[in-house]
Amino acid sequence: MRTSIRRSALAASVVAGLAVSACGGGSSDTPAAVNTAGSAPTGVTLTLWHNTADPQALLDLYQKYETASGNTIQLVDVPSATYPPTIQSKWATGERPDLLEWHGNKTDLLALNGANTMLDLSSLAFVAKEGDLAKVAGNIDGKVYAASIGFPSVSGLFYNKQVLAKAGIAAPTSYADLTADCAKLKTAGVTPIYVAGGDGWPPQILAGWNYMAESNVGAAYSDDVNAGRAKVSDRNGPLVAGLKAFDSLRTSGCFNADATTAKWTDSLKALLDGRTAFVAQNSDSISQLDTIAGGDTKKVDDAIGFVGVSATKQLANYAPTVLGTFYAPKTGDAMKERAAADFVDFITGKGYADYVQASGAPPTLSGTGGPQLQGLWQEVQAAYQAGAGLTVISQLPGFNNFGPEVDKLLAGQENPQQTADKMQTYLLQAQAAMGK
Amino acid sequence: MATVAERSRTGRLRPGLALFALPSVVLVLVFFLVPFLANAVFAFVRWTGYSDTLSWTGLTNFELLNQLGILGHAIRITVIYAVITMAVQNGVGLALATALEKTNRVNTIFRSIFFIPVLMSPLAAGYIWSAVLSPDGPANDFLSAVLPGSIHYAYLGHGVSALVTVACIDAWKWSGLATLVYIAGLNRIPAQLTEAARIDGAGPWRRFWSVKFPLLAPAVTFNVVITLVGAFSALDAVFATTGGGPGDATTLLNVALYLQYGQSYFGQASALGLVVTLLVVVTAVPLITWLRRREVPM
Repeated sequence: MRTSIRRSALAASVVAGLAVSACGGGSSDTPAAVNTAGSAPTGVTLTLWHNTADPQALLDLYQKYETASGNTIQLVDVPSATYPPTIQSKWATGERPDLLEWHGNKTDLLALNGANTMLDLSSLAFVAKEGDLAKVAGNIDGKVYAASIGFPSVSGLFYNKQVLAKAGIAAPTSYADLTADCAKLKTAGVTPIYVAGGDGWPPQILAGWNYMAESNVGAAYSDDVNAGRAKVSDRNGPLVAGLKAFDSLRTSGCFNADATTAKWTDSLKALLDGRTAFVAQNSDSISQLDTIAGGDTKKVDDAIGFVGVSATKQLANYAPTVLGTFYAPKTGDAMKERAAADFVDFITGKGYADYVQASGAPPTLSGTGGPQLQGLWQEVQAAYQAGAGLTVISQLPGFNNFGPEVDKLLAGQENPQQTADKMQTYLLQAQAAMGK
Repeated sequence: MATVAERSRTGRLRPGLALFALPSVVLVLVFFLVPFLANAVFAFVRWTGYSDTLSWTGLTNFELLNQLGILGHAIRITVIYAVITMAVQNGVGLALATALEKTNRVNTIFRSIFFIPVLMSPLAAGYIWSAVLSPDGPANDFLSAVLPGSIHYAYLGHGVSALVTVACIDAWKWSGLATLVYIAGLNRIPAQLTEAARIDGAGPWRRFWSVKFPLLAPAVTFNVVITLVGAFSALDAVFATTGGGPGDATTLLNVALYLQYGQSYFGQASALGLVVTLLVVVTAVPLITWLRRREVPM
């Protein structure tokens, strides 16, 4: 018989309470709504675990809050390259910040037991302004735990306009198009698609996110999977089909020779230099492209285009981003929790307009005008507004393993069905961990 | 340290002397025994970031790891990696020690040079080597210059070559230490033994294998066990070069552990940690016993 026990009980019985007793850290079994009663405290120091990839606009926003509130934001830098494992490791010890910058994906929020460890922000004013994004960003069972002011990561295909023009092809509208384009580009002596397997996560965009965009509009597919109406390992399901399409492109020689070791920045340089036609990436790459171009956004806009390409039609996919998505963890300190609510109010209220202007990205909250966007951002925004599907890994527990599994497919160590079978196991494992 | 006489009078250490052992005992308890026991227990507990409830699950963590193809694969890769690292490190260390055995100014300089990698950060070493071995890196540039054709081989991009390459990088990093141990071993061999062999007509090769090598057994025991156990616990060299890839070709047990931990599966990470410990114990104890038997008293 399996015995369920609380952490504290286990701690008492095992190794004199070491390690486990610290893990409870301010969490409780019941969701807690954020406290907005009375005036916000001043003179409080709030710790904020944030991503070192935060753009200057966010760093400025933190400072503006300090000036406006009289509170202090104590930034705890967490390297972007190892952001999820570092946060999860700290979380496991029971350590909690007053504010947390974390992925808006439900997948990642579940991994922090968000419903029990975060304050419910549903009552705050920003939720109505966030609209549909609030239904998928930091949302578990209809409760909103995050304020997402960073524009969602919109994924699709970035392409080099000149390379496509020289090869006499138009931007693809489907994976069948992409396969046909690959043959033409190879004949023209250009690497058709540049895959950056050396960084681990990029290959999954082409292998699953993009292909499944049309299946997951309104989270239709991930809802089916979560409800048990579909299995990701279904032989005729969209995940297996997407993986097969990716594997077919791989075996057809459509990828760069160093696909297993190339880095994300390598792929963007190759795209900008015209050494490749396509890179499957998300909109977070735009700022990196600008950086590679020495800040010359016109050069980037002239050279690069963006198109959403799913299995059979032009459709992008989006996921709530980590940069600019903020949570208020339960800490048990009422004053700090109240101040954390004040921070969320500020960044989505008084401080928001300046932030959006400085970010150079479209706004996520209604009622605030956006900045003049560079051309590539305008294309991304248009693709997002054209009914983009939700990125498939966004709402499926356990799917943060999709990247590593696709890497095995890229290395020829697994076949598409094996990869899908593994993902089904990861899903069941996560569901079991959640007590389902 | 208590002498045999002091020990035999009472059957145990005198309290005054035992005090000297106290700091070590406390350190071992706090930093080894307690974490080890905790890890061993958590290997059989469902502990994830998804829930704040822990529950006993028996062997479920191991079964899940096996079902996902992680456990068997990581053990196999770890053993292969450790054997390659141990062989290269000891082969290179022994060769260098033989070449630099005599203590003179030139050899001292070379000993220092070969010891420098030991002092480097393993992560820094890994990052440097991954840059050197990149398809367009200096290694391929050199080969392209001396060989016909243009070489752009991705040493870290193919399963077998990645595993061998990372193991060699790890071996390179620590060979200087093995060299020092072998030099110490060689220098404690009485000169009259090799001199007698020389007078008996034994050539350099014969003198090395028939006289020096058997007497080097204690150094061999130390180096083989330390390099093997060290390689079982490797993480940083892999982390800085391949991150466990391509695919899972270099996903050693500790890399798999890190990945599980990073995904909030702390129980499964503990299970992999326990496997590392068991692997070390199951390998090291018989190995030490066997190697000690072949040591020749001088």
